[in-house]
Parts: sequence; structure tokens; C-alpha cells
Amino acid sequence: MNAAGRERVKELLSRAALLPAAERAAFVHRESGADAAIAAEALDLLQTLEDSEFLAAPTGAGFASTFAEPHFGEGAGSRIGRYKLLQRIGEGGFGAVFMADQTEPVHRRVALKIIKAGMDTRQVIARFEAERQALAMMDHPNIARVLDAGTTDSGRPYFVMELVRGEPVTRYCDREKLSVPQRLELFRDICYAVEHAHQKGVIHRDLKPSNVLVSVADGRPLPKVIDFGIAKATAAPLTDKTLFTDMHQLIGTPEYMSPEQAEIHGVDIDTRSDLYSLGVLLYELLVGTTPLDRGRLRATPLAEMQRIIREEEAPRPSLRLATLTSSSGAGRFNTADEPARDAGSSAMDVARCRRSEPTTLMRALRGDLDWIVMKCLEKDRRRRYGTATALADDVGRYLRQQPVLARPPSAGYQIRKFVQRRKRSVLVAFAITMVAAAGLTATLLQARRANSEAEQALAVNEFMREILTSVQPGNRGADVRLVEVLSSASRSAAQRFAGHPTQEAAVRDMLAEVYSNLNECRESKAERRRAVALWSATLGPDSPEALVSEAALARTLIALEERTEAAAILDGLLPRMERVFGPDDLWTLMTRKYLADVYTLHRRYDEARAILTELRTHPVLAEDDARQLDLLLSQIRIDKNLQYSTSEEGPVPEITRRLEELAAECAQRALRRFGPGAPLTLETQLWQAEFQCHSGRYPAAAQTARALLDATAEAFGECHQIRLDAMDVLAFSLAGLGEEREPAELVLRKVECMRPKMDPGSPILLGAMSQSLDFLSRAGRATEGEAMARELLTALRTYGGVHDLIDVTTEFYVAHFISMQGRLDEADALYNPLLSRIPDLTKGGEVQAQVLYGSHLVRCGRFEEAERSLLDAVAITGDARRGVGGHVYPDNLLVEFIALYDAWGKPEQAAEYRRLQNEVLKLSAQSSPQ
Amino acid sequence: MNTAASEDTGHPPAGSGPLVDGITQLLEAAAADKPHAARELLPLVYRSLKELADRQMLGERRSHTLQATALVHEAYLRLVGTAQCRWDSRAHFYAAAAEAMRRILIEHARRIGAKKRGGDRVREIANVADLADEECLSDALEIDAAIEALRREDPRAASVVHLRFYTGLSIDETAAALGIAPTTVDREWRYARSWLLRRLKLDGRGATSP
Repeated sequence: MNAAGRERVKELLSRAALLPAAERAAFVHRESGADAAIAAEALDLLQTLEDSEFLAAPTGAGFASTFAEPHFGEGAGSRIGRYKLLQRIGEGGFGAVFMADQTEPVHRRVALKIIKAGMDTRQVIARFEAERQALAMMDHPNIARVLDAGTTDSGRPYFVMELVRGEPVTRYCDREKLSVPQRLELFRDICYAVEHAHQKGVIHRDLKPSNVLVSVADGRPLPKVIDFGIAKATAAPLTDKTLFTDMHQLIGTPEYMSPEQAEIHGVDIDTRSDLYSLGVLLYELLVGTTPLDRGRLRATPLAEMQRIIREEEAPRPSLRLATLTSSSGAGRFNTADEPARDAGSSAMDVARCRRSEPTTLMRALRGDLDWIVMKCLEKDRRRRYGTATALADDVGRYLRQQPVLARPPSAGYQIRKFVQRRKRSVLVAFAITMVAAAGLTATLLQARRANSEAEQALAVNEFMREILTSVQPGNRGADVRLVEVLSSASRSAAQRFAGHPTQEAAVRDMLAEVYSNLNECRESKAERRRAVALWSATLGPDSPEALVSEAALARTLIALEERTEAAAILDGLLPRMERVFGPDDLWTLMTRKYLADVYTLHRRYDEARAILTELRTHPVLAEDDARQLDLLLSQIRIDKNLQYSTSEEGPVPEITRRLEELAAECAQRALRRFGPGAPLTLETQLWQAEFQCHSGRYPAAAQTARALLDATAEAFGECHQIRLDAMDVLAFSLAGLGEEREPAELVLRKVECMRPKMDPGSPILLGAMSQSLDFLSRAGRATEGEAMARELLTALRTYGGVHDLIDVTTEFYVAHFISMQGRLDEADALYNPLLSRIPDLTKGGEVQAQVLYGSHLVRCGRFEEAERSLLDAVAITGDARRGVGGHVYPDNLLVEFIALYDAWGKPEQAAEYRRLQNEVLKLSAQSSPQ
Repeated sequence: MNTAASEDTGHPPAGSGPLVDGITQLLEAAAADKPHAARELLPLVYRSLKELADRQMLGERRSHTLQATALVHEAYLRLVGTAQCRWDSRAHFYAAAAEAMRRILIEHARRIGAKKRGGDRVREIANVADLADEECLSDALEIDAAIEALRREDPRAASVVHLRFYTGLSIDETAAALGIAPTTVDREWRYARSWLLRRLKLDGRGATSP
């Protein structure tokens, strides 16, 4: 097993360990996909360890209590600096909190928090010192002051705070059964406290109920926010390494963490992160659970957890309440789209704690409170409240029954609703790409030109909303395809935005983006061209909008393999981008990546690789997972092309191995970053299948490819590029296993899918047609083969050859199919002038030509010539299993030998080749990963 | 690391002297990536651990326990004391301690000429303390050989086992010591346990089959 395989096994084992023992085997089978060797290894290891005590308790008894304790001395009774520890009052992932006595300069009781081992104390203290000034300026009745910080004798950082004898705000509210208005009043106090800190320049970064303690003073609840300044001091710079060291401790608590905090390089945290956390707190005060499920977040691997925080929308509070009710069996509210996981809290309990009834409570939440909470929880922080006071004021407006500022439906929200209403995976996948595109456009607009941003975004959003809501399930069926929606949008946009060219441009950009995500490249190209023209005409060709749009056009042209125009555009574009955005701007860098892709299309691999290598280490991109993946994929493309174009001997095993590993790494990263079913995940899985096929692991490859076919048909429709490629891999794998009928069906279907989407001269289309010839031949479909070969030949002559020799090979096929139909003289006439061209062909092409000609000679009864031709082919390959294009044709040559000796009346020789053929087939069928 | 070589290099240098100051410096130097420091660290830690281990295993053998972690901890206190010491210095200490502990066990097993046990008994070894039992000491050799075999295939998994098994560090501490994520440690550890046990069982079968 290679390293990549082993990593997969590890992954499987650790995920299986989270499941009940009885479910593990099934899980491994399911998750290991087509890879039998990995499944076998994982199962074997699982079973080995089952019920075993072996190394089950590596940490000897007594260890935990000696080391994990704030150790090396500190405990109740000991002294730290001027403080005497009295008793431990709390502990968690961060360390432990003690009640302590300060002896000088004043005698007072304080809380002392010791941060557990594993952090660089000097850095923690330095960060704290940096903020000490600001912390000292905070003076607010609802904020517990941080008094001091230092280093214990054992070298760990500690913080000294005002001692608050209270309980977490959520627990207090539930115990006191505060009503919703009472809770909201309390919440407003908290907001004002946070605002005070924000005004002094202090961001909390870890707001959560256990950091908001409520005590009772003068008969009134007094909330106090504790731990200001500590999260920042203890948060190491968020590199991969520190993030992984101890997530819960270092950067907050997942359920309360804002999406930007969950980003690995989300270094620029601002006050709006606290606004998000306040939103979570409010959510919990209202419905008793956090927006994202606590148990689920805790049980998830880090990358998935980040994805959830970044991407998953929580149900509105009122909806969540309904969910709770339905789970408790009342069944009245079945609108819930996910089952509640907090078993203990039914809506009845939640309502009772708020002195209310479920229906009444839900009515109270629905509308304004929903929107207030959801505004705090916006993934895009620009959509949240600007300040904590603004939030508190809006809550106040609700309490006074005035209209609130939080407004429902943004375009993104509408789109998500659009998806939720039609729970078809087709639409889900489509609409998600749409949301992404909408977000992109918004980013683009807002980042580059702030003044007209609001107006523009509003107009675009409004337009999208109209388009989406105009689709009535009633009259067009629930299964309206997004493409139709888009094309109607495209048609109406010009009229709708007459006189507002920039708005139209923004809409065209978005449509282009969505089309491109749907792999409708020609539509995308058309929309993008219009967008570029509009931007250039209105804002100038060097405006950021025009530049970015033009870069996207280049990208689409690359996808269409229109390499000449793409190159021309990039030539003019890159210097302008470097001038306008600077050489280290993300857009500039990604545009340089497109240049690498164009080089790849021109088969200038060294230049392409040089650019990619440089980009992969560029500081702006180094930490960016998604872009890295992008670059990795471009690199894979180069290797793939190399594999096909430079090698005449079939796949170079070394490159295949490298590719398989790269693809496995990509597939893993893509799965982690984008989840299963995402286009990129599927694409990388496709490549895995492809490389399995190359190494002759046909059963595995066929299985992977078939699974992909199913998955992509459901998600992307019949003719998505990934699906077409999967058809390809499947055809080759099945051919490798000796199948004849299905491969031919597959390649024909593929060509038919491509025709309407491609220019008739598209190299991709021509390549697919060329590829289908061999499969048609093996399936004995000679008339269709002849038609296909002739059509291909005409196209090649009209549009110019892609691969210079493809037309010679195609002429061979025309002759071949004619021969197959028994028109031997006609075939002969075609073959004769071709024979002199054989030495020009690639090695694989030569073999193929000899085989085709050999079969013709057999039909003509010219057995000795036929034998010579076939033996020539063997001599060229040196291995009867190798064939054209780097793919393995186990039976190709052998079949012809058998036909020859059968026809010739030499049964012993025929039998010999049959035996060889059987062996080869058996080998392919058994081949499995090493 | 080579098992055979530990016979020669594993012995501590003769003589003794004030250690405390020296070792703190060595740890800091090791943390600053000075290779000589790491080299000199090992004998010191070894000697300290060995004294403690001998006392426990021989002097107080009735207790039949070798509390690896307690030993390491005690050695640390003896050597470093409570002087302020950065975590990454401590990581170097643990690395040295793991290696020292391994050598102590192996040396001990060789000295008493421990007899090989049946393959399946090794399943019951829950931690390094279980090896202190004289009749289990031979397992120390086998486990060590298995860890070395693992290292040839998967150095990272082997490092995790090495540190975690011989010093009993927790997942988080192992992660901090190796500078990798706790989730990674957990994953490697789970894999390594299975892998090692499978190998040990296969070896055992080989030895007992006719």
C-alpha cells in the first residue's frame, strides 16, 4: 500500500471509530468506494484492534492528575506572585480558574485563570501587554475588569480578573424563567457592554454564555462580560499549525465562532465577529439552542467544522422552535427541515422557561426577531449590524413595537429559499453555484467601487429575486431547470436595464459566472463578452470591473480550448492588471494562472509549470486552500497532457503513479473543502478513476466511474463535462475487461451529448469522435463507424488537424469500416496510398494501422501478408497488450490473430492465441490496487 | 535509531555532577535547534530515568509497576526542577525521555534474558507500565522491533507511538511535542495500534506454528 492509500486507511479508521462497533464495517465498505485494497486493509486493522486492550491506556494512571493539572506546583493553597490560590472554581480546555486572594497593594478577592501548557507564554504575555492599555480604559458596570497578567513559576501564563460570582446568562434566564422581553432587556445590557469595549478598541472574540455571567444586585440581574482581552492574548496567529494545536482553546468556541474566525487565515477579525457571537447568544436566549448544533460541531473533524461554520445557514429561530416541537412528537409543525438533536429540550420546555406556549412563542419570534437574529448571523459580516449599539437599538425597537431595521430577504436568501422549496438535488447543486456567483459579483462590486455599490447590488439582487420568484411550481413544475431561468433572465436583462449599463454589466457577469459553473461555456462566453463591453464602455477598459470580467472571459475561453483568443486577451490584460491591481493582487495572480493554462493548451508545459510553481509558493496564495487546489489541478492537467502527448509507449508508470497520488490528495482536499458532490470533488474523483484505469485496475476504475455517472447525472444533468469524462473512463475500463457493447454505447452517447454544446470544429469534440472509432469497430458497428469516420475526416479537413496525424489514422478507419462491411475492393483502394504513411504515425498509431490493415488482409484471404502485418504490430509494441493512445487493449491484437488463424485454417495457432487472450482477460479482471 | 546500537551508545557516561543548570541550558539549546544539545541531553535523561526505574523495578519490585509517566515526571523535576522552561524545551525533554525509557526497558529485558511469550498475550499490554512485569519484559523487545518496522513504512506514525508509548504523553501533549495537530496524533495513534498489534500477532503465530 502506498502512502496515499495508507492515509486513506487512517482516515477511515479514525472516522469509523466514531461509530458504534456494529456499523463500522458497513461504513468502511461504503466510504472506501471502489478501492477494495483500502477497504480490506481498513477492515483488517479494525478487526485486529476490536476488543483489544493493546495500548488502550498509554497514559498511565496518575499521569493525568500530575501533569494535566495546572501542574508544577499550582493548586489550591499555593501562591502565584501576589496571589494566593484559594479554590478552583472552574476549568475547561483553556486551563483552570481559581478564586484567589490578592495581598498587595490592596487586599481583595480575584479570579485567577491559568492557561494550560502548550502555548508560548512569552507571546501570550506580549499580546496581553499590547492590549493592556486598552483594557485598562474599559470601565463599565457590565464588564469584569482584567487586572493583571503574568507567568507562573512553571512558565504558564495567567490572568487576574475581577471575581464575578454569577452563573452563565442562559442558565440564569432559564432558572429564573425570564420572559422573552426580560431576556431581551438583559441582552441589550450585554450589547452595550460589548459596545463600550469596542469603542475602546477591544474585541472580545469569544463571547458565549459562560463568558457572560449574571449575578443579582439590588434584586436586579447584573450581567457581566468576563475574559475581555484574553481570547486575543491566547490566540496565536492563525496559521495552520497553531490552529490545529488546540482549536477550542485558541480561537474560541465553535458554536459561537463567526465564519471569518473559522477561516485559517481569518486574521483580520473585527468587531463584527463579536456581533455574530452576540447573534448566537441571542438565538440561544430565544430558543434554547445554538444555531449550529453543538453536538454535531464537536463530533466533526476540524475541516468539516470550518465548512459548516462558513457555509451552513441556521434555520430562523421560529423555525428552529418548530423543529423542536415536531421532534417531541406533537407533529403540528412539520415544516422543519432537520430533526432536532437536543433530545432534552422540546418546544414545550423551551416555551415554559420563557413563561409562554410554543405557538405564542413562535408567533413572537416570527418576523422581526427572526430577522434581527439572522442579520447578526449573516456569513458575510458586511451584512451584519455595524455596531453592538445598532443591534441593541433594533432590539429596543422591537420591544417598543417599532419597525426594526433588520430586513428580510437578501438575494442570497431568496436563492436559498428557492432551493429549499424544491428539494431536488439538481436544483440544489445549481443554485449553490448561483449563490456563489452572486456572492462573487457582490464582492467584486463592493470591493472595487464602494460608492455605487449599494445601489448596484440592490438592483441586481432585486432582479435576481424577481427572476427566481417568477418561477411558479404550479405552472412549470417543481423541477424547473436553472438553465431555463437563466436564459429568460438573459433575455429580459437588456430591456430591464436599458439606460443602466453598469447594472446590466453586473447582471451579465453574474449570469456568465453561473453559466460557467454549469459548464455552459458558450452561453457564459456570450454573457461575459457583453459584460466586458459594457464595463469598458461605461467605466473604461482599465476599470477593475472590466479587467476582472475580461480575466473571467479568458478563463471561459480556456475552458472552451479557444487558445488563440485566450492568449491574445491575456497578453493585453496582464500588464494592465499588474498596473491597476499590482503584481501581488489575487486577481492578477489568478490571471497569471490562466496564462499557465493557456501555455498548457499550447503544450508549452515548461513555461506553464514554471508559472504554477511560482504561484504555489506565492505568499498571497500559499495559505489559500481553494486556490492551491486550483493550482494543483492545473499541474495535474499538465502531467495528464504530458502523459498523452509525449509518450508513445503508453502511460509512463512513474507519471501515472504521481498523478494517482496527486489526484488522491486533491480528492481529499476537495472533499474536505467542498464536501461530497461538489463539482471539484467529483472531478478529482474522476481523475482517480482515470489513473486507476491507466494502471490497469479496470474493475476498480469501472466501479468508480459508474458511481460518478450516477452521482453526476443526478446533480448536473446528462451532459456535464465531468459526466462525459466519466463515460470515457468507464468505456475504457469496460473495454479493458473485454466488454464490447457498452463501451461503444457510452462513447456514442458522449459524442451526442457534446455536439449541441460545442463548435463543430472543437478539438474536444473531434477527439471524442476519433476515440469512438475503435469502440465502434470492436462492437462490430461498421456502418455507424464509417459515417463517424467520414464526418470526422471532413471536420478535420475543414477546421485543421488538432493532432497532426489524426486524419491519417481516421483515413485508416474509413477504409477499415468499409472493409468490415465487405466492400473489399473499395477498402483496398483506400488502404493502398495510406500504407506509405504508416511510418509517420506515432508508435501507437502504427500498431493500430497495422492491426486494421491486417484484419482487412484476413478478410481478403491474404493470410501471409496479414500475418506479417500483425507480427509487425507486435514487433512495434513489444507487448501485445499495448495499444493506441496510451491505453491498454488486451484483446485488440490477439483478436486479430485469432481471426487470422481461424480463417487460415490453423487451429493450433488460433488455440494458442485464445489461451493468451483468456489469460490477459483474467489478469485484467483480477487486477487490483497493489 | 537502531536497537542493536543501543548496547554501545545507550550506556550513560560514567561519573556524575551537578545537573540542574546544565540540563536547563541543554534543553534551551535543543529547543534552539542545536544538535549537540540533543545529543548530550539523552545520556543525562537516561541516567536519571534509569536510576529511578531501577529503584522502582528492582528495589520495590513487589509493586510490579513501572509508572513511565511518573518516572519521566520525576526525572524532569530532578533534572530541570521548577525553573522556568519553555514548552518546546520540554518537548525535547520528552523526546529524550522516550528514547531513554526505551533503552532502559530493552536493556533490562536483555539482562534478565526474557523468554518470548505466546503471540496473543501481547494483546493485554495496555501501556508501558505493563511491561515492567518480568514475564512481560520480552514483549518490550517485540514491541520495539514492531515500532521499528513501522518506522520504515511510516515514520510519522512511528514517532507518535514512540513518544506516546514510552512516555505516556497525552494526545495533546504528543501533538505539541511533535508540532502536529492533535487530530493527526489521534489518527496516527489509532492506525499504529492496529498495525503494531497485527504485526505482533503475525510474528507470534510464526514463532509458535510448527
